[in-house]
Amino acid sequence: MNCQGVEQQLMDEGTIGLEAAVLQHVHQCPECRKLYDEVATLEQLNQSLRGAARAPSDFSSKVVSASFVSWIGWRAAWGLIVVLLALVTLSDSSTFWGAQDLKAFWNDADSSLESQRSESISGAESASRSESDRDSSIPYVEVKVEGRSGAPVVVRIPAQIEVLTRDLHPEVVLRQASY
Amino acid sequence: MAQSTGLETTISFGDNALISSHLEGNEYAFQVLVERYQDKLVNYIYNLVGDYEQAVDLGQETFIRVFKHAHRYHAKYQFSTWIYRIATNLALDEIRRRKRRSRSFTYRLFFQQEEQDIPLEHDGPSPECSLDRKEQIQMLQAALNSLPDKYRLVFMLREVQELSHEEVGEVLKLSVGTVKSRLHRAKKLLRQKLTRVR
Repeated sequence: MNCQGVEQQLMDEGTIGLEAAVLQHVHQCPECRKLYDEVATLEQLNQSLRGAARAPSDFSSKVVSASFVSWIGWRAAWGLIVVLLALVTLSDSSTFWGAQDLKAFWNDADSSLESQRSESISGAESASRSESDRDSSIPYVEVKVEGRSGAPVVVRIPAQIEVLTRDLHPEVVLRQASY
Repeated sequence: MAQSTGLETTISFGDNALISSHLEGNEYAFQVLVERYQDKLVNYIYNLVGDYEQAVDLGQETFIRVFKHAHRYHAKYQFSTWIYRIATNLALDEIRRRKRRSRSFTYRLFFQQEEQDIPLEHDGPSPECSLDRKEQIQMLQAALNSLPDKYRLVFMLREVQELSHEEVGEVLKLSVGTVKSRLHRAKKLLRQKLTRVR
């Protein structure tokens, strides 16, 4: 074993579990002995760095709560993005119920004012009717989407969304959600 | 089924089983993972960023990311290397942010590092001539902070966190050969920093 080999071993593996040949060389060679001592000192200091900091006692409970809250917020944010994207896509290719009426209202205010307004009112009544016709156990809000071509589509969105938090974590309680 | 798994049973799970169990809805699995790694991780980040409060915050952020992206975890990798990789990236981001925020501080630190040659007794463990241990640790930390990130990270993961060469390679996406050569270089630089000029 030469000095280069010893240096390689000490630098790669440290002082623990060295081969007998390496140890024998270290005892005989002052330069390698010096290197051995320095590496050993460094190892002792590293030991101290291992316990330099510990997590605070409430770390895990805080992390678990924060993770669930963050996860719910993250899911909600993605849900909102999906809904917004869907709305943008729909509005791009279609005209929302009432939007065309409003446009005509402003463009042709003098002649068709009353008729447009009555259309809007009848539209509102129809929405109100559809709300009253809804399944009493699952309330819906209906949005009528009129395309430039094809038949209008009615999208039913649940008016009330129930989020079950008991399966997520006992510390996370969603008391009320509103819009 | 997983819901009914008790805390005591969950504690005995391996890391991969804990992740699977967490994804199946075991409410204790994530908590056990956090408790298993929290001290190691906070200590690792603390040794990198040098600020305890920040280390705790980044540790928390690391676990939040694990929670959020648990479904992306592949069991063919070790969980420890995955979590260390997330923590390393967060710590490096923080270090870069700091550097951008305070150039003057960086310059000051740079010049201090260049000027300082930190002495360390190595002529036997004589208590009379040895520096105080706390002082030695501070010197080692200062010397470590003066190392380029690529050497410091390898050194911290291998020598302080006691990961294998292969694990360090996985965390930092390096080959084992590169890990060994960087570790060699890191130790050499540290020895130079810590050796008293005779």
